[in-house]
Amino acid sequence: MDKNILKKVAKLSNLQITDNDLVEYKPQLEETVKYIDNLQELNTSKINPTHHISNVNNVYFTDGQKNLRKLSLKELEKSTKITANKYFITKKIL
Amino acid sequence: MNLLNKTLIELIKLIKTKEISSKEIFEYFIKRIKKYNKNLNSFITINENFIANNREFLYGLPISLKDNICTKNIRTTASSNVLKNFISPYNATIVEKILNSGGIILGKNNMDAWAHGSSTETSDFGPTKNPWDKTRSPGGSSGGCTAAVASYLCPAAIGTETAGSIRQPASWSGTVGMKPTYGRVSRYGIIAMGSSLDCPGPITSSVEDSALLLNIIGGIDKYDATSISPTPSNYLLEINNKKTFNIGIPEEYFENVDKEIIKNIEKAIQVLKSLGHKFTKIKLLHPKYAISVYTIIQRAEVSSNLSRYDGIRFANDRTFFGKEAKKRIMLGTYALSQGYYDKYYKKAQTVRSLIISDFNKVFKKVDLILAPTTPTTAFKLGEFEKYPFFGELMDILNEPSSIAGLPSISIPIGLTKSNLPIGMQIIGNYLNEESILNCANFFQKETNFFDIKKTLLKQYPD
Repeated sequence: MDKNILKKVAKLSNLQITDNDLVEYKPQLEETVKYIDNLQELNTSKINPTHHISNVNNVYFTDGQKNLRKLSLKELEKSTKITANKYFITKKIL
Repeated sequence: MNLLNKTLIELIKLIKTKEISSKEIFEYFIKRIKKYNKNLNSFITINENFIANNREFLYGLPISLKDNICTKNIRTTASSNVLKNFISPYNATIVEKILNSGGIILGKNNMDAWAHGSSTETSDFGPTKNPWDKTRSPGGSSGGCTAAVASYLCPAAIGTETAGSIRQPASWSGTVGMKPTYGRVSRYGIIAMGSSLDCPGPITSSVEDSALLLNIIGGIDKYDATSISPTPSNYLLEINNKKTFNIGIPEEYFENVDKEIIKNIEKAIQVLKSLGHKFTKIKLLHPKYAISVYTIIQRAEVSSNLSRYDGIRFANDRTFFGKEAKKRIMLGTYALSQGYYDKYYKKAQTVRSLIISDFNKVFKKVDLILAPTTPTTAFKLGEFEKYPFFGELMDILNEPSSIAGLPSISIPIGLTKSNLPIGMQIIGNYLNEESILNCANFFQKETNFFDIKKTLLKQYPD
């Protein structure tokens, strides 16, 4: 595994990884990647992937049903440290 | 009154006959937690606030929850510093179901951080100790639940399993651990790890208690689109109507397994034969492939699920992640990235299809599959650091059935010479929890699990 690829992966995952961390993680990740290569021994050319096993599809939430997932602004604000004028505050992106 | 080692069903009888009140039972367990939790570290948060709840079917009995199950008013940490002070604004569906069935939440159990691991050592709140030998791990990631149930700091707990996280610690701690069919129990309000695999389930002292809790937490949930519709049977009734089964023994699951474990499984098979069950040798795809499928799918789903922890809307930011979570997020991101997707993620999902059709073929010939739960008994604390994917190796015998979404139970079948519990699993076909529970229940009635719990509780008197 190329060190630069790992750095890029860390950046994509929004993780702060130091060079020291990489020294530790790289051989461990490489060992894992080497192990999972055993899947290439199996011929799957004619097999479709399974993304989940419960065979359900197109599950809809009926309009007008009581929605317990809906939370009030007051409840949501309790969980965060920084809000202003009903908005969450993030770091500047651009 | 001596309450030590009483099952949920036994405690319910005592409440119904008014021999004891639910408040007295609650206080009894709080007292035991205060006495023993310092050493075992099986609870992260204790809820001392007793609110009477007399509804059927639990009549005010305390139940403890793995700390990745969201509870309103009690903090939920997933054993990570990211969520150290997080209080969920809502209850998970299964928590609502437990409360509506007369349960009281006793506390939140320690676990591997984000359920990443099989030893409860990746917890940011310190490792849980195995009550049988405090220098050893109770297994994981539901190790806090199994340690608490084994040492009777709670009568029963709800854990979660992605691949082995209920069965493996149940085996290492000497409890009953039930992993239902994927979709049988709602995932809504449970901190997601591998969404196509995650499955909550009961951790108990008896198979009957497991059936009782599955009755309560099972069933479709409109808030979890992957929960499935057939209404579960009344397991408690089903399991007491004795049946005999054709049970398959997969030889691949006995490779590299400790001799003492194999010897005890053979003994257990003799018991099952005496109960009228028939045994057939079967062949299954080697579980070493399931390790790879699981490693890829789990890492990929973790990298996606943990992306929501940005510290903006709730909880702490991403600098609070521990090593294990960081490594898993990175590997998952790698496996999903352009150029590697087909080689890893898509390949893993096609092998998943192979594993499913492999089980489908076998279940045309047999009703149940029997195997060891784990290749070894409990490891010493600290051992996991020597392996880059310790969890996957410890869960090798659980991963194939989890990948296929099948139900399975781990039950205690005895002790090693050095007094460590041994577990055996019974895997069933899709949605066939009742056969597993039925078989396990009559095994317990016949053996009382060789009284191993009584042996342990001598070390943990009231």
